[in-house]
Amino acid sequence: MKKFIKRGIVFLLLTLIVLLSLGISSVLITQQTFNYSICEDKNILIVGNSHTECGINDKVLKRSTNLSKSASSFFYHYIKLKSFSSKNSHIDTIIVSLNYDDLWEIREDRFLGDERIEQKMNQNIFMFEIEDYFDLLKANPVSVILQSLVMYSEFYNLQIAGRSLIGEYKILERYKLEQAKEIFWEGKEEDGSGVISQSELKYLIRVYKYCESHHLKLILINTPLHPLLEKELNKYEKDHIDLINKNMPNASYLNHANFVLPDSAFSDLSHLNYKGATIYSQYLQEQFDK
Amino acid sequence: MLFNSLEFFLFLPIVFFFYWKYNNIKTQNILILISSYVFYGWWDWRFLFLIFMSTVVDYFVALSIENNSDSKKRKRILYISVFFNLALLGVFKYFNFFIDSWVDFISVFGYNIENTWSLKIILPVGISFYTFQTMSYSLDVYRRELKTTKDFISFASFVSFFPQLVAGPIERASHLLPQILKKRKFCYIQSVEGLRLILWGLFKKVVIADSLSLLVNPIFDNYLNLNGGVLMLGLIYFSFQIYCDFSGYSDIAIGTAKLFGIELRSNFIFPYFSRDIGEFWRRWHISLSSWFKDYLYIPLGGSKKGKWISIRNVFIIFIISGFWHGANFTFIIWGLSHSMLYLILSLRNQNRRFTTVIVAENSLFPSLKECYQITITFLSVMLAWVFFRSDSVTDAFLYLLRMFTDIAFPNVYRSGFIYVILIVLFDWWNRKDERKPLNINSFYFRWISYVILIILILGHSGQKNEFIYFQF
Repeated sequence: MKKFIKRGIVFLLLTLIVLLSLGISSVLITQQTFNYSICEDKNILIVGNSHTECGINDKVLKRSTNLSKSASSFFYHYIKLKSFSSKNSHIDTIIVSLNYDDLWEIREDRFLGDERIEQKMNQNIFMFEIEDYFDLLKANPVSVILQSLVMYSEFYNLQIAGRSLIGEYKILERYKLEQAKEIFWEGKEEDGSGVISQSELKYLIRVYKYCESHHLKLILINTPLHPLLEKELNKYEKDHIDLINKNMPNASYLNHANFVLPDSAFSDLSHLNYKGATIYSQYLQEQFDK
Repeated sequence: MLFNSLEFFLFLPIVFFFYWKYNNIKTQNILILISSYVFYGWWDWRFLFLIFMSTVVDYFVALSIENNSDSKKRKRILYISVFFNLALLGVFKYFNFFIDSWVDFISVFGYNIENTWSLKIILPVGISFYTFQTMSYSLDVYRRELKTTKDFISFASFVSFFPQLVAGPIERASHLLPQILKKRKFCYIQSVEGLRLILWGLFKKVVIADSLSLLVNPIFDNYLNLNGGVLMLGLIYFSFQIYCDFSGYSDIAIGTAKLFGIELRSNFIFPYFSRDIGEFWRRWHISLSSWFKDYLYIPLGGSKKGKWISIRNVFIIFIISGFWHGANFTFIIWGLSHSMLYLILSLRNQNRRFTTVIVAENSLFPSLKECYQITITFLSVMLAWVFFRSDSVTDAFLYLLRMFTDIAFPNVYRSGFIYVILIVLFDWWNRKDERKPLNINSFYFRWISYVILIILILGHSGQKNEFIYFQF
């Protein structure tokens, strides 16, 4: 029994060393080989969650690069912003998605939820600075330690899929508007509306401060919502604007939640499909041209 | 609790430690019982009641059978166990199927009735496994092949023994119960073999089966839009997905039991190297097929009572085996298709040609004839899997129709083939002993192979899929 336990512990320690070495080397290699470069003619960087991921087509909004990814926390927006803007000095404008509910406490799991850390940490870890890692570690030590053992797990995917793995414009093909309407009428929307998550707000403010210190123009964008949902959520508009004015006085805020679009432009109540994204991106292009 | 979850890897060492620390049989069996109930209750504690009831019924039924010498009375008492266990299955697994089928049947004659009887019940995990295991105890006692035990704790530990509780191997009381009643001693070699089997089972489940599932699911979901070549790939992938998923579970179960000094029966012995369908069924889900053989096929007369009775019995055993898997006509057709394949051999008295050794036991490669036999057997089994995997019989036939009519080279989803090649090579290398994977002589190479497997398992552990056989 003693021999079994002794050998088991030795084996576990050796395995741990191998796993960590493999993880660290895969992170270092990805840091060196990842393609951060953005074309010189693209000066707008879009970081956000599924609202901008499906809502802004960077082929239509020609001067932009969309790095949004669904269910991303402001923590990951901040990480991407730092990494890409520092390596692409021609970036001068940052668009960050900020819908009414993005800062709510019920969305906090995007930062510290086990499932999200499993999904996102190792896809983005090569862009982390040491303090980013410790921030995440403090928020959810168990998940972060477990994921640290498999830092190499996304290495192959990052080498193959490259930037698309961390975020890009996504054509949303699903059609769930009718289903979403039914759920809406049944009153199945989530509780906890309006309560602000301090951790999400903290990273949004970090995005703002980073933009300020690097002279980047920050645009917070509330992408179009279906009128049904917009009517329900616009009661939060005043608080939303107050919060922005209080914490990010120099940021621009584009509230397009009530942007008029037909039902056929929506994939569900809060996400645009290809048609909706094309119309909306054309509108944004016109605004930028002006 | 899933074998491929973090909870299990915290739970297992704790149970292992206390199990060997208190090295007396009574404490060990109490610990097995408690840990098994915790293991099952982790999923849904409410259904522990069913296991407990099944345990109590068979415990008392077996005692009553043993205390009675009148054969009629013994039979009547046995019916209590059979009726109770089948009733559990009937209510929790098959009730809605029968109601829905009845409503559909009636509607054929123009009577459209509203189905208000369907129950909103969850299928308790592992119900098909533990009910069969407890029934085997009463049946063995009835057949005077086993003495009862009065030790309720040990009997309850036998019924609920957590490594094989939710997806087998379905153990016979005559094999497992004596081990539970006997004092166990820690054995270094047995424990190391157990850990190797756990590692190997996890590799098959997490790396092979779960990776293939990522390709199988979209292929079966979109089969109407894909070409025949891709559908063929989907079927090959599913054949290996289900094999690695289920045999992976069995390996982990057998390995875990070894850690507690208990030997479970083998459930899979390289079934895809079988040379005919008879051999396949002696190598695939052995614990279930032998259960049906011993408790159904042979009591019905087996193959000894003439050709027609034999044909009838083959149909019965395969159709019931299909139905055991799930309350859906797809499983019945799957069983039926295997009965046809088996009958072709059986009627020519060729179903017991390969009963002992594995193919190419003393050579590196199989002969051309063996390659042909293996390929034909695999293709037959693979085609039958369509019914197992499809949501409906119509879907299954449409899948096959499309596969054979839209013949083209697969244009997508080709990457999964690497996993198929990998498992075929590993299984071929290991084919002489299914219970000793990773049995490499060199200490260094052995440890390196363990570490590589761990790296691969952890690297693939992002999605935690349930084992397919949990639903049965």
